[in-house]
Amino acid sequence: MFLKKLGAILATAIFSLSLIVSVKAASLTADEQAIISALANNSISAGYTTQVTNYFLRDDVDVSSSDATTVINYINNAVSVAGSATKVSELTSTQKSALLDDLTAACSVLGLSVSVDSTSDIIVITDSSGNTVAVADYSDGTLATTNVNNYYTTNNYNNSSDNSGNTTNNYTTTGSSSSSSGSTSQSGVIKQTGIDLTITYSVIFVLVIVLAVCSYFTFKKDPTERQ
Amino acid sequence: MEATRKKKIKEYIVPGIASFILSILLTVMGYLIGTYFGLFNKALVIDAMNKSTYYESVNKYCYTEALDYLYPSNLDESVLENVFTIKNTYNQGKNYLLAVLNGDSYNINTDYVRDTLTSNIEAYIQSNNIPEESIDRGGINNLIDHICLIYSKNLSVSFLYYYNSLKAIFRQLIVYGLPALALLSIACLLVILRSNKWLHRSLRFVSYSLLAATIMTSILPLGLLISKKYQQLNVRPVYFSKMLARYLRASLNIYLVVSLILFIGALLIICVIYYKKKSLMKSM
Amino acid sequence: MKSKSFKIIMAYVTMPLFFSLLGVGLIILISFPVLRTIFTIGSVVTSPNNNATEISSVIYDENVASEAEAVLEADNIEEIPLADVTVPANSTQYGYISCERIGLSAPLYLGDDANILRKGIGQYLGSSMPGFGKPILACGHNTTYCLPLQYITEGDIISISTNYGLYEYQVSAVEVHHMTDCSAFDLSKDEEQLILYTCYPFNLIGHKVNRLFIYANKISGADIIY
Repeated sequence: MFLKKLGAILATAIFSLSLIVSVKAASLTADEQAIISALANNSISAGYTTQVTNYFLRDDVDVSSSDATTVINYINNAVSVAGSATKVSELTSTQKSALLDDLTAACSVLGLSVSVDSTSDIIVITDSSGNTVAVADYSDGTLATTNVNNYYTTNNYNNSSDNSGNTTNNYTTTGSSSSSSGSTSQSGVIKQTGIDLTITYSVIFVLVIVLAVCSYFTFKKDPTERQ
Repeated sequence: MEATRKKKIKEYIVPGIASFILSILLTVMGYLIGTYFGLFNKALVIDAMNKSTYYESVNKYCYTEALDYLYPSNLDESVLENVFTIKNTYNQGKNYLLAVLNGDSYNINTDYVRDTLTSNIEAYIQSNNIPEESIDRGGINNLIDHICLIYSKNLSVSFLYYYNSLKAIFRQLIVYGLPALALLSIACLLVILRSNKWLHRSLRFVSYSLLAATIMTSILPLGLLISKKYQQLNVRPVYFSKMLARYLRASLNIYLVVSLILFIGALLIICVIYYKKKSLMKSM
Repeated sequence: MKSKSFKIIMAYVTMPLFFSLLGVGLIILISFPVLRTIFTIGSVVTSPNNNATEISSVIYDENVASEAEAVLEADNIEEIPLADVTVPANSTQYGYISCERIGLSAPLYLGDDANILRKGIGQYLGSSMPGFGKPILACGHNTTYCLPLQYITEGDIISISTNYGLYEYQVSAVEVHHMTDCSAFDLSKDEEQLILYTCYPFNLIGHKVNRLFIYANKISGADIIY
């Protein structure tokens, strides 16, 4: 009788354990669904949203509530940074830098890393094992469309012709800017990147003041001091 | 009491603070000089390209990419024979690199690729007796254009665009920042030297600055070199990543050289302190 | 005297270390705006794994697929839970696509990069797998695995065999579109449709700007509940 009971208890425990294991991959969790909805509601193209969905559907992927909230915040922030731009080419360098920040941070929360393919202007998002999870075109891809227009295969055909002019032009511009560099263009570059140097200038100012005070103490003639 | 306090401030606290500021200034100067002779040194970029099998890898990568364009075009792999040669790739790549590093523009010459590919395709058509109605001449020209573009794009090192932009900004920093830092350093030195009656005591503070600057200029490059973070570049293609890693390692070594120079300077100052003190003791 | 000498010597160690500790903090503060940008770029371009080369894998098992097909048919199962489906990673063969009448037979991979298209037919990462109720966008080279598609017509049945069951799609349309034509497909639809495409025309030598699209609607196969 006792053994029967024990057997029943063990069976229940094992069954419950398998339930726990299988519940993990039974469906998209509310948190995962929230992330997908955040993308869809912000009119991110179906191709990108489905890539995220396919990643969440994997057995080895689990997103906590706090992670989901953090990722959604990054998504909303990225959308507000992008503003009315619908193509990557419409973004300023400050916006691109901020979007990259948000993308990297959001991917980091999900255990993903972002890498850049410099020859085909594609951002590849990979998991911890190095498998590609998502691919995004940053050369002149659309950010938010209802139809995908740059699926990976034909993307190689499309973008190569689009980029032909861009590649040469960039280097021509660089060549001319180096040879005729003036302070205006360079300070403009710093302004365009949006780097805030207030802290830097403040600290330098404080150091100079301290040095000035030290100089005063050193070079001040003390009447009590013997010559 | 008041006189002792003033003396302490003048002989210890003031030179101490000035010494600390001097160490900061020397560190920043060290990093600026290291960056100028390291990260923005053209020779290091050229060396990294030469030594990292860059050109061979570009060839291989171009070949593989071109093959993927050939598959849907009903052409055989044989049409790519001798299209991407090491000699041509090296010449074009080197000319491009030197021109862009000097701030000039350079359009990669794809004539060799185009001509070889054209003749190979014609030979393929002739040898396989392909009828004219199965040939899309416009499509063939498009294919050749695409392959030339692949070649030109793979050889055009994209990071050089950012390199030149950053170098231009950095040049401004060097032109205005370095003299300003040098002036401030001289001011610190004067404060330190005037703070003490005895030269050897003042020079001690200078040596503290140099030693601190040695530590601060070497800590970051050493950390990166030991952790090999510069090898974990995740930029594709792999050959580009390897070239960048080589270039970064060489650049980090330059910072260590700067750090070594500061250390030697500190040792020299310590020697001077020792002999100065010795001669002072003798004269007393 | 000795202790004084010792203190002087120790000062050559302690003072620089003390300056360094304070100095590093101050330098970080001064260069923080620039450092922040460098760290952002650095975190993007560095990773413990070099992910530039991806190795493909296979989870599709013909025996498992046949067994699943038999079980689903015998028990007349129309819905299966997500837990019974292994969603693959990129570059994984998870199925087999075929059309008996035209002789189409190819491994089906998740992902459609150049490496995959050399080995079989690739499903675009941004589209769904069979059974998920959304469009499936897949492509292959017209000179290799998709060569038989030149014979496909409306009414033909395309089968996708997976470890979790067999899916059949009936061709409803065959169209030619330019490669940049956005209207060729809509991945946001809530309807399971197989969209297979390849370069067109088939026998012409030269770069092709058109694509042959085959649209096939699902006629059989269990729905995945998720």
